[in-house]
Amino acid sequence: MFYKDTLLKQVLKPGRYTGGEYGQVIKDAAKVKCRWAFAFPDTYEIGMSNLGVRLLYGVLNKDDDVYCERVYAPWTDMEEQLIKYGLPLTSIETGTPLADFFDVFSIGEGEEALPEFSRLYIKMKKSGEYSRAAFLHEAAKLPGFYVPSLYDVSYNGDGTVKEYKPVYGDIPETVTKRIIGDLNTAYYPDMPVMPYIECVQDRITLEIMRGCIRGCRFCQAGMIYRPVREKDPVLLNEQAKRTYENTGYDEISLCSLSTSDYTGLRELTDGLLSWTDENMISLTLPSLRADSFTDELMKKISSVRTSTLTFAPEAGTQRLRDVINKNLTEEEVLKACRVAFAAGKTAVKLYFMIGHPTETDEDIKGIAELAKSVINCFYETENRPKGKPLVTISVACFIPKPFTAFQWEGQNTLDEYKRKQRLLGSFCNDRRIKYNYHDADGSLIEAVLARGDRKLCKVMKAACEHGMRFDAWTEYFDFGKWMSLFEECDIDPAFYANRERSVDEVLPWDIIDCGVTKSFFRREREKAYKGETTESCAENCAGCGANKLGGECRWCPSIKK
Amino acid sequence: MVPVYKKVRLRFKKTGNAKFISHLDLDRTMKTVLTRAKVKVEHTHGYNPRPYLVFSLPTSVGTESLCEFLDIKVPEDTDISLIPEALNRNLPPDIRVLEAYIPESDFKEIKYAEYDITVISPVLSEELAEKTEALFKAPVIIEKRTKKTESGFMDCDITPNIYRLTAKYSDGKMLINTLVSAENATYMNPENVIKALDKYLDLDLSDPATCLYTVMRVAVYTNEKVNFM
Repeated sequence: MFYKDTLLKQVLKPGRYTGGEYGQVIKDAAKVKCRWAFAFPDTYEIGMSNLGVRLLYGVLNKDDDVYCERVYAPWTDMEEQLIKYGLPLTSIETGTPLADFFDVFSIGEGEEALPEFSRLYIKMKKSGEYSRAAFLHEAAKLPGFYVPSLYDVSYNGDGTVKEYKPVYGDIPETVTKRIIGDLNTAYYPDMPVMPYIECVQDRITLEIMRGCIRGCRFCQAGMIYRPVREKDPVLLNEQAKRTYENTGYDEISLCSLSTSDYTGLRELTDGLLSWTDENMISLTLPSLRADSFTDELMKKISSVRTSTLTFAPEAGTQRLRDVINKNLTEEEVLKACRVAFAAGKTAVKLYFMIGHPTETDEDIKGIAELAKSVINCFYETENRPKGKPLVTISVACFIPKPFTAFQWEGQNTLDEYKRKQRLLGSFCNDRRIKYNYHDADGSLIEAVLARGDRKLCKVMKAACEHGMRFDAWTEYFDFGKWMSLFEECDIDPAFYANRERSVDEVLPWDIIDCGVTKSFFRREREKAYKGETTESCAENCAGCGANKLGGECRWCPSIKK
Repeated sequence: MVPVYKKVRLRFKKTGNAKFISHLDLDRTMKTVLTRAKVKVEHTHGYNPRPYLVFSLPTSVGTESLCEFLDIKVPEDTDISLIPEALNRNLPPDIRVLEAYIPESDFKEIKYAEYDITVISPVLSEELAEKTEALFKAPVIIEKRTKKTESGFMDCDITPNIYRLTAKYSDGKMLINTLVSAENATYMNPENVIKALDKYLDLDLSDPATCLYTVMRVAVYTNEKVNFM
């Protein structure tokens, strides 16, 4: 006999492990033909907040033959208990253990790809062709599936990648990202599992579009989710209402990379407000660009509840904002703040990054100066509220990312980051400015992992064996441990983080085709160094190449042959 | 026109896995359940409107209950006989609304709570059950959290707040039934009984391979020792 209750009484938040939530899918495991353990590498509260997980859980379970169960990382206290009593990690739904590592990656959007993967598995099981190796070989032929074991990697003497070579002749040389052509016909999770315990995102997340028309040169999401596809506002309104009736949530958050660029925003918000106000539902619009923030939007989001407004100028001077292609002027930032102040706000929050390519100390100073201009702008606003303004500036360290114009850049060294952080602190000598900055140590580790290759696998394995867990949680992040791991594994973090790549180097992620071409990134990088901006998709096609993936794109010109 | 609302009391039970839902999370769950069930309720009128929900005596995480109460305010013309079924369709199976009625009493009238505690452990015996009963006849000192001392803890005798405690051994289990204070100032958490068994009788119940205890609130009473409604 084993009394799970006794164990659960000794851990924090036992509700993380019990399941039984309203909306959970329970099937007879003996009657299905394909079972998924959908594992999320963080806690229950984080995983349950993820729209992608909700979406794929729903889309897989729609199929009667297929059973998708959820698995979350146990918190360290629960892990200790599992080890102490020799218990396996289990799924929330059926308590079944899982064992192996990843064999295959699904690249891109999974709503259509994962059900195809299930069908292939069921088909091969039924015909008797199934073996692990045969299945992985067939899976590698499905569009958008990357099976690492079927691609050999060789390296040059200096440690850079020489080439990726497919093991079989009948699998693709590069794996092309999958996209959903028409978001209006795609599955939408209108009956998500309702967690008992409070999760990070406890609200309706309404995805209004995928992709972003802006071409910020540091931003990975803006590139890898291209081409831009919008959903129909009438359909979104219906989906929101149905989800509200199914869940009872009192908050709807519009989700996209840049909400104000959605062309149906006015129609959608008008439609939503026709029923949300009377039902005490608040509407939140994150990811608003300062240049599109108007009185009308302010009124719409403040009709039930409001929170602090946040804008992201990302850089302190116009020169540097042009380099990163933010396409935002100081006047536009100030205008947005004026709208907020006139509506009764006293606090605004501004996001910045330091360490962008070509950055000088003038640009650092510019961050503090922009914050000061916002304070002056408060006092210049005639119908401002009483009291003092508060401008919070949150300053992150730039981490060069794959699939961006800055994928070849070297990251600032730790010393350089720390110097810049202190420098900015010395300019923030006004009590109405609150200066927050991210830990540079963590940014270095992230930079190593973001542009890593397979040689880093041994670091990950060693980290796991050393009992390192939840490193993204500040209470568990230990910079010293990471540095000694790199040393132990003979890995130079500077090779990955601080080294500037040559533009013709084979990059570890070249095996993936995200739609946007490497030559586009190269062009964008050259323009960055010249301080030239690139127009958004809505203004002019910059020829990024993502339209070859197809899809119902509002802005893309017809597919180029 | 300002709508007129009436107060309705829901009696519900919370068993099985639902015992791990904390009081705050139960509050959140009930809010969404009322919306899903289309039971219109009055909201607070402040800056951040939220449904008017008042719970009686919260249970601590891990405690089951057959007698939980929740007061809501619904529009005057609501047919309250339909509320329990509407809510149950939208609740997880471990929470069941048993009845809805117009209350005549106030939560302040709750004075006593009765708990059934079941203990499973290989070291149980009839003798231990006798010792358990005897234990609570003399002062039992338990460390409690408090704001009054610097350490955040203080020693308290819990027996003045235990009005009755019986323990029986049967079939490998010890069944404890106890009547304790449920008043604000002297509220007694039934987990203290488990703590006392550990401290005075060396009954360690932390090994999941052999031990289990369950705590179930079976009834709450008013001053006159009648069931609170």
